[in-house]
Amino acid sequence: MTPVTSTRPAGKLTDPQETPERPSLADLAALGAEELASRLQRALPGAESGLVPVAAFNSSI
Amino acid sequence: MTTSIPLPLAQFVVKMHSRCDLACDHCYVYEHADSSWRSRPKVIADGIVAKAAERIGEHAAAHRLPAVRVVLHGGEPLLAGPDRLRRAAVTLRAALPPGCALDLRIHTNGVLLSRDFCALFAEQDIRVGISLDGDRAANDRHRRFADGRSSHPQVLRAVALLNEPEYRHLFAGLLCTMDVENDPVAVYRALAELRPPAVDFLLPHATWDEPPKRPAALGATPYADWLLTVHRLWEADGRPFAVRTFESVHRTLRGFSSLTESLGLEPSDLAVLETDGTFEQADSLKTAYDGAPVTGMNVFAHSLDDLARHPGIAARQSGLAGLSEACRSCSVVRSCGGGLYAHRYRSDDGGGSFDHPSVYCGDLMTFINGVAGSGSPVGVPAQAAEAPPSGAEPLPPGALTPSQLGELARGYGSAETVAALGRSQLALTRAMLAAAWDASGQGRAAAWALLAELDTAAPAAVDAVLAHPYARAWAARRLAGDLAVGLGPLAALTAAAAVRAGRGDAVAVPVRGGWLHLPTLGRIAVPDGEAVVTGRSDGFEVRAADGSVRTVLDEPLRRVRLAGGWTVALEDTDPLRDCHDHPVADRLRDGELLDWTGALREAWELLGRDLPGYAEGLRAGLTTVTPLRPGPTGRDVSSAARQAYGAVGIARPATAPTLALLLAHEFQHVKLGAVLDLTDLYDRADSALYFAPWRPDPRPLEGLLQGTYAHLAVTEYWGTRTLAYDGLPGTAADRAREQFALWRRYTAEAVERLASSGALTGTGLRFADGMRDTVTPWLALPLPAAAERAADRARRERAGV
Repeated sequence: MTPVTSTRPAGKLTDPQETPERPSLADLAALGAEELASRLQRALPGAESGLVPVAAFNSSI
Repeated sequence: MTTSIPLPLAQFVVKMHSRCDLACDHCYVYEHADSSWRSRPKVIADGIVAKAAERIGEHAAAHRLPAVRVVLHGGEPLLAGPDRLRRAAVTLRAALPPGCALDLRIHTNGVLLSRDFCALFAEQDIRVGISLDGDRAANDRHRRFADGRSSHPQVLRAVALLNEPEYRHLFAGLLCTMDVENDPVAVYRALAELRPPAVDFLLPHATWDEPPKRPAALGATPYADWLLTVHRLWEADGRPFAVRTFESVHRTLRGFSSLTESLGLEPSDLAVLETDGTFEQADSLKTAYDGAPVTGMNVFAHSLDDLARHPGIAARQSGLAGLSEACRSCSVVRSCGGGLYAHRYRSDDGGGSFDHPSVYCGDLMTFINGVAGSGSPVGVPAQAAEAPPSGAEPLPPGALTPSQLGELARGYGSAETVAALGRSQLALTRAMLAAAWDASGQGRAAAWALLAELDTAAPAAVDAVLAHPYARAWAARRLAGDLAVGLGPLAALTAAAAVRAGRGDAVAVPVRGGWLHLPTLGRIAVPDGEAVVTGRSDGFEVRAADGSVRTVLDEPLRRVRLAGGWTVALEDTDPLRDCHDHPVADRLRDGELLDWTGALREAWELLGRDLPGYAEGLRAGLTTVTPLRPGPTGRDVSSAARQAYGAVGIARPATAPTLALLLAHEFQHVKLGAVLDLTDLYDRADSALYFAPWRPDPRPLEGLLQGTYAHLAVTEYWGTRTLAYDGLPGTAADRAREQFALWRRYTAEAVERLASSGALTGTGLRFADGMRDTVTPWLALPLPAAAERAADRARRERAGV
């Protein structure tokens, strides 16, 4: 057992993508944040806590 | 009569002192319509603070608030003196129920801020915001002493104090009230020079009765033009600090919440406590008319539930429906939200009301459209309630087969099943990252463009970086509107991908606090500023802001490779790792690293031998252990974070077997969190609370579910220890049998509570069946009567009987 300080991933950098249907980051961004958020509702922060976004007091920071 | 509370109150402005040592001529407290300050006590009494703390504590407990924010305000709150401020902080914190965090702040003009005050704020964890209107000329326009002297030097001294390393973490930011006759470039440059973590630019308070000044030479929308000039500078500088107003426009244009009450449709949850103990509505209403914020309530006679039902507060919680007809039909209403409530007031409408657009309507429209036009075009967001568009595919796609879900329900998960969770988590992180970048208004466009290019050209390099647990943690914080994290980590993720790809790509990364962090790789000591990272085929080059070059990591991320193929990173460099609800440990020293590697080796051997059904999944999915600081009096501390798949936080315990138990326990939370990202196991609208057998306090259903799932592994841990001792005598054997007796019963009871809750979905009921299948055989294992009696005693002690 040795602590390793490798800066390389375990797999080859030319490995094929695991899921061919994987949408690219550019395609995802093209959907826009609102569309993405509606599809990610279950996982977004706050969803598990039921927190409601509220308006922050203007006269302090 | 209204009997329900539309929204609990969670922000409290406590007026510590009603007078000020400055005489700013734009102050809404003293210079505008309301004159109530004249009759109020100068300083708040301890008894009023104590009663307010009690009210806040009751309210937080009744509404299960995870956090409340209290702003110590004025007048000038430092005039209350350090002793009174300390007593207030202690009293407020002590009154909150367990599980409710206190975000305590003070907002000051900075004139009196001293090293002693800073020490007090460090001691009491009070973050400090300062009012400063820009460069000296700008600040002197309004912010003067009563005798006309400038306050600028004193404020700069205060900011310099907060920028000292000892106090920098207390520095919340600067509030700048704009004046269109001030040079926006000079104001921006002067503020940026002070390296604030955040700034907000406030429109001067005005109403239709008292409209803002509009010098003829400055055009029709001088406030919009002023703000857009600052916005352009801020973008050109790579957004060196958070600006609440700008971020709010970017977010609301894309359907996210605003971060300030002056924009957006989010409801108000704010109450103000004056020095005489009366409750008021939002402070800014003082600008509308004399007595506008009055509620007729006070802290001794009225609860915060009473206050939340006040019509004036309820009126600010009705979103779009609460706006004027003109606003409701406007294309930018989701962003401006009608503007700050006080700015809508006019008295000549037959009685005086706020049922009007903002007096800044034209400026807000121009400003919002200007910000929207500065990035990529965005559509007008829907104004209906949030709902997934019909027919939209969920992201990530459901990646688990029924058989895999069954495995996980029984508490386990093969390497293949956990790898499927990992793939779905990577897809989720990628989508969240794209959403966070777009919601930012597509800031750091060059970094994103390179990341997107590498995503196609070197996908494994990008995925290796985005599979890092804290990549999702960053995106989650951004999407939640956490202004404490900027876009720097996005550039750092890109830089790490470029280094891994080794193609010669370069990207600028902002450096703060003297360290450049490259996720999954480590960190490099670099002067603050913009550093350019270039990925080379044989390593990397970092060119710092001062022109110096570095090619090695000063503090590489250390990975521990263990027999049987488990490699785990000991994450002690990532600034985003601090998401485990406990303080994280600093960089491990060599001796500590050896202790960790030894403990991990022993724990891993134990897991492989005694918990093989858990170890296989853990090897496939637990990539990161983040060392935490030890708990008080040796208490074991460990945690998983829903937004950081693949990581657990642990304070290294005294023994390797305990580490094995903590690893198994926490990785259960990691797995279940990933399942919940894919599948609804319970009705998310269920608001009931449930008692877990092992806790005195009731919790939401997810808490009971998470606890039960984790204790499946705990039960098996003690069960296999009991079998290993095989009737042998001794303290360790007796303890294993007692713990086993305790946890198998607790876990079995908890499964039945879940199953009978009425809140589980069909999939959730099958999940409970799986958990029952695993725990039931353990109930049949015979134990000595002494172990059962000891478990009974432990149950009574935990229940406080």
